[in-house]
Amino acid sequence: MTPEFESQKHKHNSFGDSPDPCQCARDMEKRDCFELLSAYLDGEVSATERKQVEDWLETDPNIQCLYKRLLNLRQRLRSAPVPASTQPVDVTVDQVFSRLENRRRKPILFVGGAAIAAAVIAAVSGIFGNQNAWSPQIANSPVRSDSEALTIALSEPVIQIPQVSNGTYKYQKSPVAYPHTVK
Amino acid sequence: MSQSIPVSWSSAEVMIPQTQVQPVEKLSNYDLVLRCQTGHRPQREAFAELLRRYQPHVEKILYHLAPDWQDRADLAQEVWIRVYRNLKRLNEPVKFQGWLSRIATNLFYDELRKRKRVHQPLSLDAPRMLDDGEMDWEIAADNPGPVEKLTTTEFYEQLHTAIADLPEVFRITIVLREIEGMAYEEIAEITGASLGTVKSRIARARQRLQSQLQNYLDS
Repeated sequence: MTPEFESQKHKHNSFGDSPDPCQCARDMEKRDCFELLSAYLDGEVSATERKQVEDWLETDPNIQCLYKRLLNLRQRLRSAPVPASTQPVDVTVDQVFSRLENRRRKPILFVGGAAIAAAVIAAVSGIFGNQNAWSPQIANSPVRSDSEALTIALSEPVIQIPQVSNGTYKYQKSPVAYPHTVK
Repeated sequence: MSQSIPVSWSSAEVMIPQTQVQPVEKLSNYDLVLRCQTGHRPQREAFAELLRRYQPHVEKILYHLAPDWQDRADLAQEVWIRVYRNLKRLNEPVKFQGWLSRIATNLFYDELRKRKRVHQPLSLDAPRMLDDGEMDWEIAADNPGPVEKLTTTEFYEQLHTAIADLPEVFRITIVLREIEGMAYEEIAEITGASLGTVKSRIARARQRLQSQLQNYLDS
């Protein structure tokens, strides 16, 4: 905060008829005063705030000076030169289009690459295709006579049924009639 | 006997309406944007002309937003790639420059976030921060003594240094306001800050700059 602005806010009652509020909360007030002036510069104030700042500007040469300084700063900021670009703009144009072209090609290259890879796999599998090395195969088993297989399977139960001779508990006879018992 | 039948050929001039296509160099900025919006993608010739005209604007924004980045030229190219791809969606060609500024700023922010994820800068020289992350209202600058009798070139060097020395959020906010001419609401939206914070940051940045360059600004 500039000294003149601060002193001005102390001696000059810009807030109305009440005693100078800047005396009470100096730091907060000077911040608010400067913020208000800054916002006024940007046209970001309410009608009441605008009136307040305009009152200050009419009566206070120090605030006028600060306001002028801020306007000057704005003008300087906006007209500040930018160092000349290190490369000619036409080179930038070429580079931008080159980047665009590269990015456009990427998906095509990806799809193309995938297609080539697929073609190579197909060709390789075609060469070795006769041996059926990579192709899925269905296992073939010799077919047996149904009746014989059934007889063997049924005459030898998969689970041994325990026999309890003298116990109180006896397995009940299986309701299944085994071939050998039938015989 | 041969009879000759006189045939009179009527010659009529066929007037084919020809739309005169103006060279892109002669188009106004508005018409140039319109020309770039015709077709599925902008024509190279027209787009190149658009880039030539507005590249200084893009460079200026990036120069102030990212004064210490060495790869601003790459970033500027990315800006133009985004413009190329999205220009068709711009509904009001008259607002092209504002739209372009917005693209450049958003891209800068994207890049800033990426870089912050990679490494959090920690500097002992960093300006003193308050608990809420705000710059102290009256912070002593490294070089507070105003330089007298500066030449214009020297002044702009001082100005650039003063801007570059501002803490990041303050620099971005004042650049968006003064260089890009954005309204507070727009700045709040872009930076994700409240209107009050934007107002305060702009005032503080101005306070710092004007106190550092006071003598020159008064002359």
